[in-house]
Amino acid sequence: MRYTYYPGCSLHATGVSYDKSTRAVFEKVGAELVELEDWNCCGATSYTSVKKTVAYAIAARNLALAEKLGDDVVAPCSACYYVLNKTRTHMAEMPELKEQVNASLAEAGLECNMTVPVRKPLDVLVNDVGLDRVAALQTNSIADFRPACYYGCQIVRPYGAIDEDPEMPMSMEHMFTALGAHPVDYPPKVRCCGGMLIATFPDVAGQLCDDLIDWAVERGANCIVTVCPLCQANLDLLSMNRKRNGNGAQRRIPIMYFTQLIALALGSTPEEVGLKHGLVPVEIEAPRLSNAMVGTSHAHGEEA
Amino acid sequence: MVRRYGRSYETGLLLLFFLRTKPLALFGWRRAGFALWRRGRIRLLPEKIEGIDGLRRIIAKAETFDLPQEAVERPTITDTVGYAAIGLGASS
Repeated sequence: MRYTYYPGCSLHATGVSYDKSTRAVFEKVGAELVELEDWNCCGATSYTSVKKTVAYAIAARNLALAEKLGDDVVAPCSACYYVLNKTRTHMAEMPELKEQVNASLAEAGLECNMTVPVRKPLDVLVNDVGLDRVAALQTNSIADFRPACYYGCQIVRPYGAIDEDPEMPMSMEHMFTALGAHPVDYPPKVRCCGGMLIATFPDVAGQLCDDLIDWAVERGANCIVTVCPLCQANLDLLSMNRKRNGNGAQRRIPIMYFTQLIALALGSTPEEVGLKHGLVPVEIEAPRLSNAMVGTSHAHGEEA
Repeated sequence: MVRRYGRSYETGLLLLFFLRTKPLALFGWRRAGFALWRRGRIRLLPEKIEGIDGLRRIIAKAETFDLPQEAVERPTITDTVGYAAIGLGASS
């Protein structure tokens, strides 16, 4: 299995641990990730509002480069996944747009024919690799994790990354159950975290993130696992600023990428999956943790 | 940002946004910024792609297909939204 890897801008900055853990998981399951050479920003979700054709054209440049390799594109970032799929879909539905975009790409000797699908790592792990194979490769116990599986809003609609009910996806729960963890019931799993409102209207985004963390804490989760770098950054920043409440219960919990937890189960070290980049440390107190996990908890000890 | 480097530069983008819109709000981001930097999640310098010249040509060509936003004709709805919808005067 070989895939073209499109990390996107955030996985080279705030989402660096997503980059590390995605590579680690794919290596463990024997799937090759070939990073798209000289990829550019997908334009994210805001560029379309400013200059429509330019937004499609810069996203299509990545698709055109990927078509030369011929493999499925794997885009871990939910915004990249959404934008690249939107570009593919709209170019297929609107011949005039396709003509304009390809006329633009021709300036750099490129052409986009939408021949390669764009997929999320979760989709690949569930549908190409399979839960059975992932579980068979497990070497470390993650039984002490009670993750709240948070999908965010961009991978379930309108271009569903996983073939499930967009309001109640269960792929991550099935994955972590197969690996021996105990995912909690988490109803707001596809609610919005506020996205870039964290910069423009921080009160709004703060409240949305607060609700998401409250839900997880009240359901007994000891971490939130997510598939989106912006969700992770927003929740991580908010979780970092929370205090213990009056009765001493932990009101802040670590926000992890789902790939980090899977990679740990498959034998990767905390360093390899970038646990040190989290703002809230992973502190699972049960005694059956691997030595590596205990070491990470101590390394972040000042946050306790 | 994309035209200059080919990739988004989160740090610069946020700095520019706050400096242009609400500079004082930057003080509220000190702790978050420091925490992210300490955890290795802030790039101090932007990344630039090798094919930036080609990307700029793509952008320049694509811009010729986009009308300036001011020139886009939009339908004006005056009777079913806002105060006009409940009979409290028409909006302009």
